[in-house]
Amino acid sequence: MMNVLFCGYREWAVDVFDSLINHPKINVVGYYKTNEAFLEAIAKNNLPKVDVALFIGWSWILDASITNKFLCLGIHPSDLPDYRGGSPIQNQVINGIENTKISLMTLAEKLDGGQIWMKEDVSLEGDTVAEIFENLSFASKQLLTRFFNHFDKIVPQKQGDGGSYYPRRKPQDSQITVQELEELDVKSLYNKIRCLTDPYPNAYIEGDNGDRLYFEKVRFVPSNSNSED
Amino acid sequence: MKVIFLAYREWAQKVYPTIANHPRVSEVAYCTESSQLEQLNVEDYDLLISVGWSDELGKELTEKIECIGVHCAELDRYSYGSPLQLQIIDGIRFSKHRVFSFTWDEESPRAHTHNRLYSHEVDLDLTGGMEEVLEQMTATSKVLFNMYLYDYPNITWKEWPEEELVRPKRNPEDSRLSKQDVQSMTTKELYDFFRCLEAPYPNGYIEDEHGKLFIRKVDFKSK
Repeated sequence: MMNVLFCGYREWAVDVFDSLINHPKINVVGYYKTNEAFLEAIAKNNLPKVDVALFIGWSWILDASITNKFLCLGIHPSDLPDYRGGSPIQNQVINGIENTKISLMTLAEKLDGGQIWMKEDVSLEGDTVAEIFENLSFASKQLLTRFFNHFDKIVPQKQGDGGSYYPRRKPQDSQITVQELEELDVKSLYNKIRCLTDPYPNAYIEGDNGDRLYFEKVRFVPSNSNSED
Repeated sequence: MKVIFLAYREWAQKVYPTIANHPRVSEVAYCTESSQLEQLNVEDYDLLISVGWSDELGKELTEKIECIGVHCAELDRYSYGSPLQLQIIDGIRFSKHRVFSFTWDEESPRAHTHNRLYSHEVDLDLTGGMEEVLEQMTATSKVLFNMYLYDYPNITWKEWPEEELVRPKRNPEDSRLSKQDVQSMTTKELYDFFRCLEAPYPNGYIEDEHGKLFIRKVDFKSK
């Protein structure tokens, strides 16, 4: 039996944890949805032996004192070492990637640079981020179920050299610029808009006077499609 | 009063309880499609109320029973179809919602409002997304029919002034914008264009050789 800590607060992460809480090979010794609650438990030092601390969609950087104390694993929604860093979903969708992988990695000093334990296919299709989160949630359940079933046999692999790193996107990056309007085809505009639907800062066009038109929901029909339904 | 109530659109069907529960109404025949109307002996009824009904009622029916509807415009130019969309695209934020006399005129190019007669009117707010606009349509329709039914049969009809300017009914291809159109329009114009084509209407879209980008929901923030 493996003693596991769950740390996640986003809806899709909570959905993943809730579905795995009764996995026969794990014993959930703590379940934290805020950084404060997690740090408080660590500070009190009253946790039982922890084999793995799992972080999904966790926004806070883990201190070395924590990553040295526990085996901390996280799911990163890219085929590492590609798209390390911030906003991996957005950066992949904007670059036209429709199918990628989620990577279960050791959380280490180098951001998204730890050893890889497992990967799982995931689709980045969907008109909204909510739909992409559903895909992530499904893939994460598949991956973690496999991980818990075979934990003792898995040998984590060092990430290869290369790959790519992207900084976290800022709200102003959601602007569709005049240049983008001129240069991007409508499929690329669709990708930029759909990956910036709620809860992210929506894509927008800004007028000369500073007024903004925000795109909240879109749909794309390719020109070779027979149906617009 | 015995009333026939015609409505198939969601916003229009929400008006039904107001009619059914009105103290002056004793019986309501609720029709959501023309075939139901055809089965009624309309001469057994006092009034036909249509809400958001697209079809013309025709000569035979309008001669047998008094028919009324609601029209969501103040200016005559919006009497030819798609009044909500055309007013919003034209930048109109506040309009009127009126009870009109639903008649038939073979020669008239207007949609339903052939004799330009109205009895009651209230202000209509056209701001916000289409969901909000249609909520306004429901709320103001309830007010208008309540007013009409309380006044019935002492209804005073007024005529709205005729205009030479005509805004013709929109066609499906009018929902298309090219990327060049998008670049030439202001953010406010784009907002109005897309918001008036939100569900339940066919969405506005931007098209190029790769496909169509349908804009389902937009928001606007002034600086």
